[in-house]
Amino acid sequence: MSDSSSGTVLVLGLGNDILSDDAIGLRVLDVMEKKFPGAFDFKKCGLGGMDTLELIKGYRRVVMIDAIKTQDGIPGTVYFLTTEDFSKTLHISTFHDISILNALEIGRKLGMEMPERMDIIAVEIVEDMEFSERLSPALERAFTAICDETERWIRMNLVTK
Amino acid sequence: MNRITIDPITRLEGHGKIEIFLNPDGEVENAYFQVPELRGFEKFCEGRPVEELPSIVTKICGVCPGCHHMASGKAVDAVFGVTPPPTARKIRELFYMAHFVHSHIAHFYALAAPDFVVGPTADPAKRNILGVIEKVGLEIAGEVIKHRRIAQEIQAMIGGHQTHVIMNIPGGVRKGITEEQRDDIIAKAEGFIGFGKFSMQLFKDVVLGNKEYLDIILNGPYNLTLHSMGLVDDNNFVNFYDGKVRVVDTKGKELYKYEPKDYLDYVEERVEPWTYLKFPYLKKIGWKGFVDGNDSGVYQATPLSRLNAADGMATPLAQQEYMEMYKILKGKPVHSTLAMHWARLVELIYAAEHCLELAKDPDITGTELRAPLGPIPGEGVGIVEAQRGTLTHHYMTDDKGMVRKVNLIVGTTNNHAAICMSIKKAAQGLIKKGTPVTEGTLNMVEMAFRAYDPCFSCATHSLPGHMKMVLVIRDSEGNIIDSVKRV
Repeated sequence: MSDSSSGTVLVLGLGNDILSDDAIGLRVLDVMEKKFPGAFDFKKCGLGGMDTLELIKGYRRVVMIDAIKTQDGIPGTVYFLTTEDFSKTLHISTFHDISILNALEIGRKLGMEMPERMDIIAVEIVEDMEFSERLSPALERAFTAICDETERWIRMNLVTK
Repeated sequence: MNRITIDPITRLEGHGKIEIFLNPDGEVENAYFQVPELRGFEKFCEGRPVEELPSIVTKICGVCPGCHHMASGKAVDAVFGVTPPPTARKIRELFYMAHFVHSHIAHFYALAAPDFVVGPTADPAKRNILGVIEKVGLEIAGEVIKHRRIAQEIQAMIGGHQTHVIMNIPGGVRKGITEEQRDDIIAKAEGFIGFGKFSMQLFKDVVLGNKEYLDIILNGPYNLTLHSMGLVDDNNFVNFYDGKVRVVDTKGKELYKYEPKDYLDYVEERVEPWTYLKFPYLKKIGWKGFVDGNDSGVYQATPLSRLNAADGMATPLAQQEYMEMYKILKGKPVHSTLAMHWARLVELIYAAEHCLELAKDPDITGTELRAPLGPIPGEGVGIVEAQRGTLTHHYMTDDKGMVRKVNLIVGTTNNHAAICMSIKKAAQGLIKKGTPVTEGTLNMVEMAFRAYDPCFSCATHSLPGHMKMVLVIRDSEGNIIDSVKRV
């Protein structure tokens, strides 16, 4: 486990880098780390739930970058959300484990230092069921715009070190 | 035909859907369990050096990466015709015991306990790990988080990373264990044993101590009489890492005991038109349909099957619990689906005890970590027990060790037919004409497959758009007459 207590803001990329568009959070994170070197802590994670709990503890604020699939969503659309936006759905997102919201609540109940705020930058994807190291063509085309939008949001919303 | 749909299923890795079809009399006629399957892994592997696979396969699944890493490592050893030296083998096994401890703790407290500690028909808002914490107290929640984290720390220490494990190389492991690390693991493993005993006692107090719950386990619509599969050692004791695959019939008589390399002589896979996922069955008996009984070719490969297929556990406390379980359940083999939760706790104690044994073993800090490689035979099979069933990796390469073909039978896939049958049986027992179908009824149908700790499509985790649980009841003309939603 890494010691996360030294940082105040964590940017966390979630995804599987060999599962097509599921890797989008990781790919965008790589670009942001180059755009904001040393400004925040940057980490990657392929899991949810209790593992996320260990990663986020000690941070004041956490921004997650992840893939999302919504009904009739346009690939490449970037949504800027908070945990409240998922209060009714995220609890069943991934389960051999617990959900991120439940993990947060457990952490708080146990007196662990949990983030005061969690933001989610979610990118609408096309394909996350086929193994591939490449993004789908639609997301590949939108990649620069996705990164620009994410960068703009970070500049407007996060105070760098 | 009337139709009930449960989509998606809660507390299941990946997205799933259950469709229950009613006959004109309103009774359950059939049940289908469907999951979207990840595609293209075999193709993804083709043309790569086979020694890369143990690291790649950890990304197939976010739940059992260590299991795939172990099965893959063993398959690669076989491709290179090499047997790891004792220290390397024991280091692998030590890692694997920690992997079992963390997974079984998560399943019991996050997935099984909500149904029993909070109650199978309790308010769904409370029927989760937070509801469990409310009932059992914060102190225990802290212990759950702590021991799970410690198990992850051992995996990270030995495996190079807790999830994306890199320890296995052809013929051995990348690095050894220092005396200091050994002492650290010994202290941690002693803690696991204590927590394993505590968890078993909690199960006995809360579940076995409750007549209603015990009745659900013994007499509820959750029994399925199938053959049992599991890896066993030379003494026919349960072994997660190595040994022969043993299959016993529905009465406990040994049907087969085979070397992993011979698995294709014993297991065959069936394709059904309504799902992408295959249905393995016992080849020598043949596919007789979705039926149970001694003539059926369907088998189970679960924690309970492992115990059924073995003659005992290789560690003292686990053996004691093994004996007690069969005594209370009145004989062996046991066919109650919900007894899988109990078997999982017996295994938790075994994994904890064996973790301690291995950490104390003089060989564990040895320096011979890798055996020299011989010529490349070009084909290898590796079988381990994953938490949710027997896991097979089969690789074929050219003479330079480049992958030509890959075949995997993952833990849950073994149980695919059994899961479908368990759901149907539970639905038939619980959904009756003229009786309202409540959210609690739905959850009790779900309990039938949740016991398997199923894991489908589990590498994907993208945020849900509109995930919720919906049950729709239609009359014979397709009109919706009732619906239950779980958000």
